[in-house]
Amino acid sequence: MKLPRIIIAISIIVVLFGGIAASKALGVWATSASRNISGGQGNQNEASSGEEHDSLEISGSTTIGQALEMGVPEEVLIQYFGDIGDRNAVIKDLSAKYGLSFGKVKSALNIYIDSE
Amino acid sequence: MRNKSRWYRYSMQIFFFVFIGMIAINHIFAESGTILFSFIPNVSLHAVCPFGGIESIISLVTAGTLVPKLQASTLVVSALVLVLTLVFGAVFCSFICPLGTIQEWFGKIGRKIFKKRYNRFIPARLHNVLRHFRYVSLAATILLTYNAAKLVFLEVDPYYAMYHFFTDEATIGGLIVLGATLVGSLFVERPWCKYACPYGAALGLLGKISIFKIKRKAAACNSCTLCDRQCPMNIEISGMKTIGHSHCIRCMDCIDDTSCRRNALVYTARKIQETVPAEDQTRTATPAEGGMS
Repeated sequence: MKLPRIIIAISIIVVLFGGIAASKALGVWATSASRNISGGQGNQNEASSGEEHDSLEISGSTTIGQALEMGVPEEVLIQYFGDIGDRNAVIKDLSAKYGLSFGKVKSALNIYIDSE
Repeated sequence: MRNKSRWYRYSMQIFFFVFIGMIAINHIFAESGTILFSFIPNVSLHAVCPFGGIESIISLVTAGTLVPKLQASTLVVSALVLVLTLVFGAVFCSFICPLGTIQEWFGKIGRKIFKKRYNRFIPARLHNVLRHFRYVSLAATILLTYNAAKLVFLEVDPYYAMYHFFTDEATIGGLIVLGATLVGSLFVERPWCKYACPYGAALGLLGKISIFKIKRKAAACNSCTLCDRQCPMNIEISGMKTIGHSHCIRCMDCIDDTSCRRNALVYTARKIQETVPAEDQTRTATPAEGGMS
């Protein structure tokens, strides 16, 4: 069977986007922080909802409480966000609220985690 | 007419170049609280990078874990590209990879400047040595990623740098490699793919066992070597029966009318039946043709 390029092009679209749609339907598609992929579907779902955080660095779903657990000093977080009473506040959201670049905040906070 | 089919590949390249760019830009802006494209998912490039599954293969097999920044979605995309490669060969490189695409675009400028000298600057003997470096790159990336438990390749990754060059997430090493790759593309077709890409190395090896391969009908071939000159990866197609070379990216440029006017090359899953076309029955094979068969 000779295969023209259009068939390859269509196959690529079908396999990639169809595969992603199928993995979403099966609950294996998780795009936010999850380090342990052997923990089963429950673990993946936790990751998708942002409840689990990457223990080694600040990510888009990391909360103030998680950052403190990772070793980021409280005074550093206060310096950036002032009141950090709400430990469930997401750092990315706070950065946006205070007009800070999350990329820069993330890099700055990760220094404290790396040095632990 | 077949030449027009190149546009199917070009269209796919443009689509993925723009689509992946939109994913990257969306994520960059989302970090400062702005969603630019609401119809594009807000995910990091790491979450959809198909190389992630290969990079962290050791920790994945031994401990069932991925290195930081990689997600379960990375594995899904890796597996899907793996399936495509096992069926069609390394079509990811020729139809999808944005870094391959931008190298081709720079290559078109280089082709205009240097004309027939383009992609012929590196002597064949040196090319044959240099092309093995991408396997060193692959092995080093896998081992270093395992040892460091982080994405060490990110420090020199031109793909990530290409979509993040205006942010503080782009590394100096990545920007230097990207710049060198793009300048190199003005002289050599796809220099990164040919000599350094660890993912291309992995896909190329898998592509050797793909179901569909480009095959050469020796009886129809007059060894004009037009296909050799057309091949962006400098493969000597005219000397092979099956183009199972690990560097073949299945771009299909060699099977176009502009490369093979005798339809001696076909992309198929079947074994080639060596029958001489009726119009060629009277043609006498030259010793060179016999040698190439």
